[in-house]
Amino acid sequence: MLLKVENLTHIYMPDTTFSKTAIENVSFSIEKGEFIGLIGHSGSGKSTLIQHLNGLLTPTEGKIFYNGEDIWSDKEKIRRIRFEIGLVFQYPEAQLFEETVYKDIAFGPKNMGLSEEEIKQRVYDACDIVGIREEMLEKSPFELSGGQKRRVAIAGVLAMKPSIIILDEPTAGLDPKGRNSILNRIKQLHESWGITVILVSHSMEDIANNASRIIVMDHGKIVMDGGTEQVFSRVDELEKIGLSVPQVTKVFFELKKAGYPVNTNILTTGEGRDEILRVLGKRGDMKC
Amino acid sequence: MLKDITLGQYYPADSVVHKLDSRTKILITLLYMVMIFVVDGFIGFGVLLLFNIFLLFLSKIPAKFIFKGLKPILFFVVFTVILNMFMTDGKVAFRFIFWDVTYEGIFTAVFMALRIIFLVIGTSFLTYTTSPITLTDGIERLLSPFQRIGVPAHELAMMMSIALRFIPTLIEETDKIMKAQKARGADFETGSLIKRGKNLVPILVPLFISAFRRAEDLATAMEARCYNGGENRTRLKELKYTRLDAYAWGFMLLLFALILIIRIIGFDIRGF
Repeated sequence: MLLKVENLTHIYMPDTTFSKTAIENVSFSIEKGEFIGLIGHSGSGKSTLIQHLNGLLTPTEGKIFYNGEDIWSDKEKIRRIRFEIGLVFQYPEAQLFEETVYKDIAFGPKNMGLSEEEIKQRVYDACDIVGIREEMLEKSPFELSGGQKRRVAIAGVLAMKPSIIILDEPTAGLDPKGRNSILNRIKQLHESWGITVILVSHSMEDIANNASRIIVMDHGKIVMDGGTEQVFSRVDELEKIGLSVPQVTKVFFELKKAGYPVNTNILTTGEGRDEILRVLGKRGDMKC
Repeated sequence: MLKDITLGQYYPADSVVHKLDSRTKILITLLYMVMIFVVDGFIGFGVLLLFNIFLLFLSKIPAKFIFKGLKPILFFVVFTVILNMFMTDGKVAFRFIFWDVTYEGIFTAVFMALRIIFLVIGTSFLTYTTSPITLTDGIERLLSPFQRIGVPAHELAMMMSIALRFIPTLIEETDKIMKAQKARGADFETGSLIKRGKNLVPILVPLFISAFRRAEDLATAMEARCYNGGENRTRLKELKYTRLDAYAWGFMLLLFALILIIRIIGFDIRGF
């Protein structure tokens, strides 16, 4: 078990009139190499939860274990946890500050105290993954386009070679091309580095296309936790808490309701096409 | 962490202090500041303490909030105390390593600390009980008589309200950037003063960039809505004096008289 969260509760500004319980008694664990989608409507506690995983917030109650060790057992060592569990915030381009792209990506590895050689290697590796060309490395990060800035910021976290990477809506505000490119890179990263990924997103399509497990949060609690197909089969419950299923899944649910003999465990458009062809093929008399 | 800074924030509640006209509150705050400097002994401070407690109950602001607001000035208070304790001549009370601490020194130190604390607590009631918008409206109205001699009252008030409006936003932004850099292993808590100063660069650069961007966006948004200065502008909420303001003024003038009497008669405790 790579990461384990036990009875985690977090209250913002406790003991004041502003006190707000952001997450309440949350428990789950993550195995190495999983690709997890974390969904929930705005204010459901997702951001608070992920900030606990790398020790940016301290739990009001509960514990977090990384590789079996309580991450808060030694306060001095919390920085080491942050190198192991990378967190990419929403709109991460806001964190860029260095004169050149290279220096900015090298900030994390530098804080780890690595040698110049090693830092250079890691910067190049990270750039390779997110698709930043070498000639961009000497540019100022502020000259880049929005999508490129985002990639540089993600590279800045990847350069620490964390074993888990958490991405909070990495595609928010990007054009479709930028979205797909970032998501594909993340998928590749998951496959080639074997890195564990937690993806927070409001796009059910993005989650369906990538994640193998989904955790659903509502009002600071985990309400569902299971395989992608299984979670997306509970349409009514998801809609009740302001979420949804991928559009294509929804189409197949409606088709089924209308009496067509289709399976409803369809998550991507590709699967959808195959399923329609299958059903049509079975009833050879139907002509398109 | 940064969200815990309460000094200068507005605390919405339904109380008579909140209902007072902001002009009254601003002027009363000025009078209160004068009172603090009139007071020259512990009985005077006792009266001010009672006044602050009274205000606390009247305004329905949690006491915890007030104490939290004192945190940022703690360093300043300690600094003043130490400086006064060791730098005042007089009758020696005890020796601290090689410095003489005098009775007068201790008295001045305590006195100065009380002055600062009362100044901060009392004036913070103004911002706790007055929303930034009505506060700047009040300032604008109070400054408007000076417009004839060239004081740009409206512009000043506008600048202030924008500045106040963006404090929470910038605090939030700072918090977010700090977290993002911490996630990349930045360390703000250890190291020498110079190193710590250097470590602030990863926060300050993004913060400035976002502040400039926000300023530009705001200017564009104002321009898009044809904003132009104070001439002929009307308000959603007009400031209005009520009977409450008269009561407040009556009470404050009595308090001021009391403080003056204590000072003039001179029976206050001014030493040990």
